[in-house]
Amino acid sequence: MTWDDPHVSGVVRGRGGPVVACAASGPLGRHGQPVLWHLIAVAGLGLTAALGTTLGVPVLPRICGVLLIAAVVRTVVTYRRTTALAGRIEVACATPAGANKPMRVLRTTEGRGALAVAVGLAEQIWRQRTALASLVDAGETRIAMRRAVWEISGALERRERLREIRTHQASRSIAGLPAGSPAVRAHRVQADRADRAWAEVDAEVRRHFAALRDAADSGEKLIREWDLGASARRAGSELDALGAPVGPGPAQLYAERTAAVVAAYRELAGTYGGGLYV
Amino acid sequence: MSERKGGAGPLVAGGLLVAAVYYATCWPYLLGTWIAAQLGVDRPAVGWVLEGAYLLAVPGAVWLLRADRLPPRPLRRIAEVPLAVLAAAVVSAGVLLVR
Repeated sequence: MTWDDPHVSGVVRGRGGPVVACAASGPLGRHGQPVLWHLIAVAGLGLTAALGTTLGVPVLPRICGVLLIAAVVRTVVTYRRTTALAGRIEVACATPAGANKPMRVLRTTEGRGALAVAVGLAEQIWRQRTALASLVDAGETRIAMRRAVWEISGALERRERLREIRTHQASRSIAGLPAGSPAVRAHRVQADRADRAWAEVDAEVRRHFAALRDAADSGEKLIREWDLGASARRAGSELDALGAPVGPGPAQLYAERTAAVVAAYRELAGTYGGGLYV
Repeated sequence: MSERKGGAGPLVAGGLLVAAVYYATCWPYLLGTWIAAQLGVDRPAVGWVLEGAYLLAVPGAVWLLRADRLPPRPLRRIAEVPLAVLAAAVVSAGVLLVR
């Protein structure tokens, strides 16, 4: 699973799956930052080659020549990829909220931070797949995590837009206008609608995060307990071999933790995709 | 006791600055003439072609990178032509260096 694209900062994508992008661009423009380092590499290699030619060191220009060709090709590829992605971001921004968009775009620092947390949790769950192989299916986990990030990014995107609407509504003053005015009434109705919609989306975001945190935490606890149990069994075997007095056997019952993991993964399966629990 | 002022420091710094500006401006011409010399063709013409492409590419690149919205495809292609010429020249130089 590839979560990030090294060519454009702030992009999250599953391999062949949906894309979540951040429209923020730095002081160097939309894709100036990734291209800049390639250009610096090209200039540096060019200077080194020129220096090698001037100093009469034939091996230096030859090495620089090979690297120069690679650096130019890489710059062109990066430029093409970022331009294509910028086009997709524009399409997504122009598509109305709620429509079947090709990608999600998060424009606020808060939204991107929340997405980073969600991706971190999804990665944590994804890393647990080997240890929990007897409980969960890796392929289904991949699909569920990809869907989870996609769904969360959608909720975060809607929350961003609703916050913009609320801020805009709040900035409009109705002081001094008659309370019975149709315009004032319409303003209040729309402000109330925006507040309720924002509260709903905020609750949805919290639900997504709670489900991911439950799965990640319960999986982590079970893995630690299994690990501790295995360690205790090894110590017991060694003590038996040394003839140490026999004590009460360790209670290696993980029923409670296993049930918690199964419940958390079952919830994920119910939310993001069926068949996760095996 | 008198404090020594100036010296060669500012002069060297100034010289380096002038050299940096000169090479930052003229590198396509120098690159073009070097490529032409390697290939045995008219030297200044190739140099001036690359220098012209460079002078067109700089504002084009700034416009492409800084635009808030992606420029229309035909205009983007036009702005990319001088960049492509420079990229081809650098790749050619790389090939000649390796040869």
